[in-house]
Amino acid sequence: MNDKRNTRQTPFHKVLPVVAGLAGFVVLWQLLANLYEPFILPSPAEVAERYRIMISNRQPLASHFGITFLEALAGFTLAVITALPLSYYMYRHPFLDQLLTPFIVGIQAVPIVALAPLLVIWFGFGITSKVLIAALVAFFPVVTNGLVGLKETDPRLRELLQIMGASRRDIFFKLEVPSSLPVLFGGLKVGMTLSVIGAVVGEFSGAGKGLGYLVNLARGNFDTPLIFIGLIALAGLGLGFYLLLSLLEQILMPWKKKSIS
Amino acid sequence: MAAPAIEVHHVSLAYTSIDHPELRDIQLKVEDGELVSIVGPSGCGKSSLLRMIAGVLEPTAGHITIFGKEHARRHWSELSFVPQDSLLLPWRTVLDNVCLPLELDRDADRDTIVKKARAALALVNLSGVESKYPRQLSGGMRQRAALARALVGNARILLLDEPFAALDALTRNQLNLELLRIQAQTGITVVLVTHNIFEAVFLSDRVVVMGEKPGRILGEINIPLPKPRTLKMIGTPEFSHWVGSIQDLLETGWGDQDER
Repeated sequence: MNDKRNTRQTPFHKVLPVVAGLAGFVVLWQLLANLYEPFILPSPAEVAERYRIMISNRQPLASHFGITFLEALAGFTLAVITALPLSYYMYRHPFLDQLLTPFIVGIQAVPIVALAPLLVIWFGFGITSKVLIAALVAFFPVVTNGLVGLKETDPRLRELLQIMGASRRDIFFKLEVPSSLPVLFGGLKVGMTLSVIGAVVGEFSGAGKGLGYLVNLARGNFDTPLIFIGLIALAGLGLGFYLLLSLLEQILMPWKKKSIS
Repeated sequence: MAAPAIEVHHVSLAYTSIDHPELRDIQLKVEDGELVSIVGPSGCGKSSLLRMIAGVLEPTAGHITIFGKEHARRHWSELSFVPQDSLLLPWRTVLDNVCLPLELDRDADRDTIVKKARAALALVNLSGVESKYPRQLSGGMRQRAALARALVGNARILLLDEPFAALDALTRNQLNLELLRIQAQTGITVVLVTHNIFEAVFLSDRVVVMGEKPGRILGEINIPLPKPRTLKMIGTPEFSHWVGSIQDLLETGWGDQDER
């Protein structure tokens, strides 16, 4: 029944809650800003004004945005290309699963803010250390969800394909991959969002560019509106990545959105 | 003389110890074009026997031959299978699900595959839903699609593991009639596992009755009801007689178990 209701939604009905939510957020922000000094909580108008000044002073936000975007995307890509094969091998070889799981969980348990300075010392203040930090935080949800997704393959379907005479390769591409996609995409979405956090943590630990650097710089100058600009840009970046993956999810899993006739 | 479609030679199956087998000394012969049902209580090993015939479970002792050939890797054009829960791949459309067994043959071209899949869907009266996903279909339609998938390779043997058990009585009757029609039309050999005695009598040329602990064959009953069969036969005294005979045979199994 829910599926039927969802298919009746027009694009207008889908966008309406988002627009209403954003408008409500801005109104609430404005109301709260009236209660505090601009130094503590600048109003939306003051943040917009700071952005205008930033543009007029030729301090483009786009370059910082671009750097963080690149670091997060490269880190996420690195995480995916290492985590997916690893999750497959862990799935195929339980020994490997038992051997590596404590290490993977152990690395995940170390706070990334504690690990970031070490990576910056090892790999320098450039983009490499940020990419590695982003990859490290994104790695865990991708490898875990990849493994869980593969493990959830219905054994009855596997048996049926075996009766059909399917090879190991057929079973992988025609069954295990599509079957694990819903769970895998959950991990990809979390990993993608975390890679943005990883890149910013890396920039906090030492950088000359990027949104994390911008926020850190603004903090040093007590420039609260600029902090807000950085935060909004980061939220937009995370949201953009999330929407991109959601779009990819819809393209790769069209059966998920089809309604019950 | 032609070899039987399926021959099960003294097959036993044990998961833990051969002293406590799940299935003990099963001997069964199914002739080409015959429709045989296997009935028995839950846990008697009916489905395990079917899986051994399908080649996905190895007997602990004994062997199985298909058209006289020793158990080897099966091919969908020889032997196909319909499970209880249809087991259609949810990410594939109905047409793609039916195409799947043929896609596994690397030499087959797409046009031929699609043509055969559409013909199989027409055979089970499921044309018009090719582009739908399994979750968009009713339970009966899903089972029809699973049946089409089983028939697409023109298999000579069709194994059915309680395929209509989850359906309502009306749909089940309808699909039973469809199965009889398809069997008469294609001459395919059918082995049906069911716990429904009425269904077994209605469909079968012969019913194999199994007992449990360990799973074994208690006896076989030929069903000489005339063909084509109709639903009206279900209420006749002759039909009830065969149902009663199977019931009696099943009860001998309970007696054996009590004695142990």
